[in-house]
Amino acid sequence: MAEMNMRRRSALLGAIILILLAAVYAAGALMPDAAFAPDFSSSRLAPSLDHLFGTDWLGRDLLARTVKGLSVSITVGVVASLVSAVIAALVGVASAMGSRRVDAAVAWLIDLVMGVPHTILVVLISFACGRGMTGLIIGISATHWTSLARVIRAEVMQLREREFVAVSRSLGKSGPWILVNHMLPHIVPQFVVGLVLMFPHAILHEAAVSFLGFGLPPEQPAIGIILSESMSYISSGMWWPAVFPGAALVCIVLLFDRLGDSLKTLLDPYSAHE
Amino acid sequence: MRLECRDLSFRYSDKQPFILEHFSMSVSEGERVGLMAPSGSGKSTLAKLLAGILRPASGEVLLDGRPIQSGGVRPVQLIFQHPELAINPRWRMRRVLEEAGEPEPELLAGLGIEGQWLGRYPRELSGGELQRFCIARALLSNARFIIADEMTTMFDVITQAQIWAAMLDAAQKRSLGLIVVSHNRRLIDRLCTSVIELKK
Repeated sequence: MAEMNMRRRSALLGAIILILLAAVYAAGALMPDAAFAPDFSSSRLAPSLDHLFGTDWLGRDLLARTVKGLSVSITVGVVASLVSAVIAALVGVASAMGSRRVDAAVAWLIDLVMGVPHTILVVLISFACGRGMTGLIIGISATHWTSLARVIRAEVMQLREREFVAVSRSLGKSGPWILVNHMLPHIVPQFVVGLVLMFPHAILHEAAVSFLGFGLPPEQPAIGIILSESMSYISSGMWWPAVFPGAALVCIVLLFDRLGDSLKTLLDPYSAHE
Repeated sequence: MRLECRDLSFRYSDKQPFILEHFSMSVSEGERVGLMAPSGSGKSTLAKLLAGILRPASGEVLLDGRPIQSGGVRPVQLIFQHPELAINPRWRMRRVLEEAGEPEPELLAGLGIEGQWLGRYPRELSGGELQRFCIARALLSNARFIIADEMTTMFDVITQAQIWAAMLDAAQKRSLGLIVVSHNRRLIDRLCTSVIELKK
């Protein structure tokens, strides 16, 4: 690692993180329901070699539930972030390229969405859309696009004034042609990094809203649900249902965050010259 | 063909003072006009107005007595002072040229552009090399008038001489109208057939 330059190190780290996240997702997605089925003969067991994360009050293996829950979190995070980032790109570009009225309307909408705390807005939208995974994804997607939309709007506005865009216009190229060929490739790094850095937010909001009881249904193994249930038992000394799933969630969030940083380095054109 | 501007005035916003007021000039094909003025007197603004990049507050830019049509390849092309800003940094040089038209080997050879440069990114070339591409791009667009806005100011004298020799040769062959914007009197005296002085 010591002889590697920053670009290679970032690529390697990014690849390891991606493999790790894919492995967690696959493990959860392929896991049979029997792996975390209730077993009343082994309820409330502390962590041991048989049950690394212990068991809950119904005797369900917490490691299996955590992995399954993380897989659900990754699904929600990835889908919600993708939808959110696409909304951000469309809104940001429309705002920068459209008329002053469009720009003012978008600025007003962004202020409106940012003005309400995310968690409350996600709860309201998720509740209005019938809760469950779909409601949660719609809620998170509809609230997380604002910051990235602002970044993309600013980037496109800056690009619009660049000399190479003026040259392209004088060479007879149309607005849409310039947007696709000159501008969009420039906003790809911001888009990708914004998208990846949105994952941890989306995952945390999914967990928070499920924790509050407005997100995923209680029978679904989700980190938010596990943490919410663990609160009833933590005062009786059962610490493991709160600590292990909580720590696993933090690890996944940090992994996504690190992945975003690695991508930022990789997509920076000047790092290619190292 | 004749490029002229009549009674041109410009300011960046209604609250700011005029940079240009009631300015008129004209250039014919094959003519080389020098536009001279100290820094900050509106030379680059005038160049952008003539090239159709900026719109005047009043007055008009005419080609053979008619307003230049918007849309399509403009017959007046501007070459900027900083070539690295006038080229998309994410494009290879071949694509930069192809934006204007199919690169002509004789034209590239005349400008001293080596074949291997076409596969490179802008950051892999020097300022002088990039400016040659900007000239080639303007020529490939079949422009009738070229405005060179402080085109060689940032280069050493040898590069300046090389670039101007290539530019004058191309302008002569194609009978282009050339507007040389500079604050360097000696350069303009050397290159141009007539001189217009802008006052601050």
